[in-house]
Amino acid sequence: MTTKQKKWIASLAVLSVIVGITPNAYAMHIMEGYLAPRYCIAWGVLCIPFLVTGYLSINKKLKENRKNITLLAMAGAFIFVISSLKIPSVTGSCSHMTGTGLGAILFGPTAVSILGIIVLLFQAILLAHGGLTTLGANTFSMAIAGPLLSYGIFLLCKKLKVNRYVGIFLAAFLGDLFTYCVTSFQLAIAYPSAEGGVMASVGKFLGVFAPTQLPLAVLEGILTVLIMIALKTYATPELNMLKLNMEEK
Amino acid sequence: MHRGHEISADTYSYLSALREWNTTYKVAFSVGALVTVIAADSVGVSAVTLLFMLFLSVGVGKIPARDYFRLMKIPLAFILLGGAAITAQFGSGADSLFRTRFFLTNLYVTQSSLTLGIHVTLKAFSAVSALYLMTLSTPMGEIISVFRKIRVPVLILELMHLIYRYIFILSETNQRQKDSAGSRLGYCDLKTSFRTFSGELANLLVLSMKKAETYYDAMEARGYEGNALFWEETKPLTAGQLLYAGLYLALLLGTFCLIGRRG
Repeated sequence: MTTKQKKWIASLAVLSVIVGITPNAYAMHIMEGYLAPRYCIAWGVLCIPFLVTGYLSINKKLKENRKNITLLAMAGAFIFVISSLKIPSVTGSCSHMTGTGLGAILFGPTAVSILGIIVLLFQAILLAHGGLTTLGANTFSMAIAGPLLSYGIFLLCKKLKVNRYVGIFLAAFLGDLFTYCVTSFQLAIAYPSAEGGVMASVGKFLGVFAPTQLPLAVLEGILTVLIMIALKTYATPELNMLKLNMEEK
Repeated sequence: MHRGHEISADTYSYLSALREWNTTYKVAFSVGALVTVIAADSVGVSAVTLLFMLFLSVGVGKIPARDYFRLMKIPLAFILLGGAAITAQFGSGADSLFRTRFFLTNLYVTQSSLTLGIHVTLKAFSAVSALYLMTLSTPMGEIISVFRKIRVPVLILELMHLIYRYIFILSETNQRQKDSAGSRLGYCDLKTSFRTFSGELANLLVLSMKKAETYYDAMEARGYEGNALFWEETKPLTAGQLLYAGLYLALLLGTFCLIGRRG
């Protein structure tokens, strides 16, 4: 065997191990116990302004119409359920949607921040995905950064008169990718490389999770578009109701 | 009817023998152990906690051991991948245990990165086991009652109660959708699966919005005026329960002494 062949075999082995051991690829929840206390606190504190904004906006919506409470709760349960469903896939491995893009488009990013932290807490308690100490970090990446970017892209595409479904695809796809980048960054500053520091470490975490997260982001984009098409066809009145009740004014 | 294993932590929380323990005490114990593990950041504390939590959940709580280990496998993929990323290093790779050419650079493992990788993996499993002490023995309603005690706004508590209930309603509805779509060959190939899957979710959203309205009416018919009250059981704190926390503290103290003597 030449050195070149050896190198290829080594890389293939690494790749197959990475692909092989992820039979259950959830969105990237940082596990319990993975972050040192100061990072847990720092990320939690960073979430507070967004959560307060979310709380105030939800409170306002409820003052306007008390009926929104069940609507909001249903929206939260809906986000939980879509993020726990297995996406049909070729390889037999099961992956799950994050639902951040869809949630942000349907319910607006401020409501999603509060619903998101509740959903993440339930995922930690009921499904053991994520954790209590890493709740702040996970909330920041999945309930704040991802949805905000998704919603921004959705609005931008609307303004630029891009095709509606291309806009939805981009919003969901990039929102998912952004969540994954933020999580990798969060892990990297907690565990910087000996050589090259934080940036090298970001590269490592991005690389390790890429085989599951990249296809997942594309799938998420496609599925979100399909769901929005189905909603447009069958549920225009409900969509309008959501817009009326939830969207930012 | 066949149910997904997704919500199994909830099932165990009703079956566990630790269910009768005082709720606040249980949550404080679990969160306390969790914080200890990540703050102490030591192999000894992690190992002691992992074993003690296994003893509490399986030995005292009577969760079947096979199910417990199956639940511990849930975070496995993340922990292994994260551990790999921490262990493997890129660069020149001076004095490493193992080194290989990897495209333009070297992939290598040093003594310290390997130790750190194993250490973090152990810590993560230990933290998960501490979390399981709470989640496998405390139903959600009781956990929410602890949130009420630490003064989380009522609006959030109410949302939590409702979301918790609606999760079960929606996932049951979705299970029925899946069964009926499957029996009509909705999952025969990949393209059809995608269409079925997204159709299901769109339909689920419509159903959930309809249900939301019905449920509000139902709540109003039962006298809901913007403040939902939920029944809470009071569970006494007994000396027997405190004994376990004492035992855990003694073990921790012992571990710290051992570490101190060695260091």
